[in-house]
Amino acid sequence: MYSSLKENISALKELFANSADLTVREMNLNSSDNKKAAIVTIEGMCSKDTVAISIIEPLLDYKFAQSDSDSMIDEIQKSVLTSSEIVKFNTLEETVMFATSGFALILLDGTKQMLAIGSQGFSFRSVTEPESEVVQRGSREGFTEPLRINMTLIRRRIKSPDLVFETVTVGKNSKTQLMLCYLQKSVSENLLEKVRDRLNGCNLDTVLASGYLSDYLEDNSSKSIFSGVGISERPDTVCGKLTEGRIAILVDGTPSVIILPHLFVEEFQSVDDYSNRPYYASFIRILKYLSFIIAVFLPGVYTAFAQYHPEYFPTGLLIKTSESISQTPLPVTLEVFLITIVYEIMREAGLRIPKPLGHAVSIVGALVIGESAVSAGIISSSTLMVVATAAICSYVTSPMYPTITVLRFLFITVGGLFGMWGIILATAIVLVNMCSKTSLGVPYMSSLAPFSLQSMRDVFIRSSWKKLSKHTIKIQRFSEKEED
Amino acid sequence: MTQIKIPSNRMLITLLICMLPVILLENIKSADKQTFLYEFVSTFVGIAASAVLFCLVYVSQKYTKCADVRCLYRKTVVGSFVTALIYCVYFVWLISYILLKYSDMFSKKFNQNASLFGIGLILLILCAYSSYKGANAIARCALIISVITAVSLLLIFCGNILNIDLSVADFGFSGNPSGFFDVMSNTFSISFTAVICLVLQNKSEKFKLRSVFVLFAAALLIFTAFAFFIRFALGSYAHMQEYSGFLLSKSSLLGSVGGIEGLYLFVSTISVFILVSLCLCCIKKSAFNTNGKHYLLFILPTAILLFCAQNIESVRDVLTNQIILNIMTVVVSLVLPAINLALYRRDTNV
Repeated sequence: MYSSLKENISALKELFANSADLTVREMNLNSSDNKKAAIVTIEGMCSKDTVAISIIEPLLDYKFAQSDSDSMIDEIQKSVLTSSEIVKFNTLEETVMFATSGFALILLDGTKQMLAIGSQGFSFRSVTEPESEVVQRGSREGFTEPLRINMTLIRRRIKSPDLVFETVTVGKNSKTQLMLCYLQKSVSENLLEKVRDRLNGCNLDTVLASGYLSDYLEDNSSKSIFSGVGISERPDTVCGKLTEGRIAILVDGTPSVIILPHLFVEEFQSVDDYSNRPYYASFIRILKYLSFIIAVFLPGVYTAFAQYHPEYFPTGLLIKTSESISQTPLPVTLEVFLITIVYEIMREAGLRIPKPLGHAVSIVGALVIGESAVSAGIISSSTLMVVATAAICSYVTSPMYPTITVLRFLFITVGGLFGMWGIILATAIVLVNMCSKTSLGVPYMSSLAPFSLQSMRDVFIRSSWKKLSKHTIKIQRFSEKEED
Repeated sequence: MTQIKIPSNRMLITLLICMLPVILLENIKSADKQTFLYEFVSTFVGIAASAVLFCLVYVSQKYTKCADVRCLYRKTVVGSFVTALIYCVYFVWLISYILLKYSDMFSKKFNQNASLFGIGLILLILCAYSSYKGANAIARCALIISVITAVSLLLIFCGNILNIDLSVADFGFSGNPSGFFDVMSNTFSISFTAVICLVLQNKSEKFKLRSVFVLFAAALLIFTAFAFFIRFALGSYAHMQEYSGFLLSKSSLLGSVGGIEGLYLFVSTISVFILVSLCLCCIKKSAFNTNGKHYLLFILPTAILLFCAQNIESVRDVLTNQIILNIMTVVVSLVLPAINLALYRRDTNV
């Protein structure tokens, strides 16, 4: 930076290419030589009231005893301003970082030193219940976009000095701020080092959401359709995971928090499980596993049975199914495939179109494509029922929806081509893929394979809190040395 | 290269799954002239012989620390090349043996139009993918499969309980020596697990001796259960037919649900899948000792063998000959390490 205020302002304007949102408020301070000063902010990032009341007003009201610029900067920092967050700096990089983070910058003529005053005041979404993780009993708070608020939501739940937030910046252009969050005494240093290394290896220009980082954080992400990175929008879920030795990554500008390592069995756990009675929670847990199996296998197995092994259907069902199928012009495989694709298109349309039009899509889907197609004899009612059941089941474990969809198509294809034999072989391949997957060196299928009897208290069933609280199972206990 | 770490219990379950194809794809027509006790004794002798072989391999590996090809790599090029080649030939043979048995069962019982070569090749390609993921991933997968397999076998047995007829049972001890030898030879063929264990286990592994006994006790239990149900639930019907394990699943009745041969197909397919994948891993370990994909070249000779077996009857007879397999097993698990030890132990300085 320069000593001259004019040059500093010119340099900043040049740096920001005279961007319209860069505002400079120049003023003369009440000192013996009426020292010139300027307040630089980025419009929309700072609260105008905070800047006026906490910065401009005290600066103009204060009578400076000294006229040396460096001494005046110290005086402003120590005696004039009331703000709790004041940082002194003198480099251009820091200027950009503070200005773009919502700080107000104070520049003084005759010194290279500058002050950054925390006065963030951008508008943001308030803390609301996350739509993707609704619970019946429990907190209604969900993460929101600003990083600091999300940090507060975690800190409020874990009031321990053990809780650490560590700042990391990624994105060459976006300079997105991330917070590594962990419990110092629970986390494994090895896992933490791996996360730091992988974030440092992220060479993206822009990071706008947590999904951008998933590929960098996963072990061999492209080689599996299962995700080794957990995502949650709930602070209570994140806090629960932290106590098990996991690491959370908060990304500025997104309510989705990344949790690492992530295991397969976690896809079937929810906050409600721990609020409900153990018996009911266990029942729901088993129901979720069952739903997952139905969602993945049902259309494929139905295709294989109807096309190659009709003798596997119970007699009554066989008569009805064959009657229904015989009246349709398409082969069963094609029929199942088409209905599933139409369903996926309708689902995608329902997600993307404006809410008021959503009902229209539902009506078109239910009446036109569903009822009319069946009554016109284009598709069979049994096929429609199978696809609909699988679709509903896939929402029970909604975080796994993308995986379930891909697997469903795979099983329909192999079921249609090779029958049950194809389904069995595809199952074997998927199992090997799942078992070979790791998340930060922890096998994705931990608790099941490698098997842990102690973990079973919170896998297919949920034991009582008295049993669960006896010993917290840390994630690092599952770490295994893998083949290269 | 990172040494794999397969815990003892996981290895035990994986090897048990590898034994299943021998039990399920057994094509010996139960001889009606021998009694159950006679069959049990011949099974016991076969399994005991396998257990002895396994223990010998185990002891030689544990106490000499130089029982397989890996210890030769650093010392003698010719020795390691010849040994690696023999191991590879053995595993290619074993893969062909299992795939031919499986394909034969599949084409006879599930799809008569299926080509032996086609089925074998598809399975081989999928197993290649699986072996690429490593023995540890396969072993983890075997853990999950073992649960499904156990449930499937239990369902098959439970579904046949009502069919058991002990009124015609002869619990005496009589039979002919050829039947005894057939059953013994069949059960002894599970000893290929010793070779797999020998190749996959590295020096720091702790495959406990206790696990060997548990493994063979479990194998004896499954063999005996099959023999019991085939003899007393299927009766004389089993004498006329091939693949009595399939018949057992077909005759199974659970309430109003019958014909659960889908479970038999599942268990036999998945166990063959695990075994062939592990064999490919063994080729990788014994021949290349690196993590490259060169070992996948061995799919080619296997595919050629399968193709020849489909078209030339004599090739199929040789490849599916249990006695040849058993002799090869003894050679690669005992004779070859013994020769290696005798020739190179001093050189390897272990």
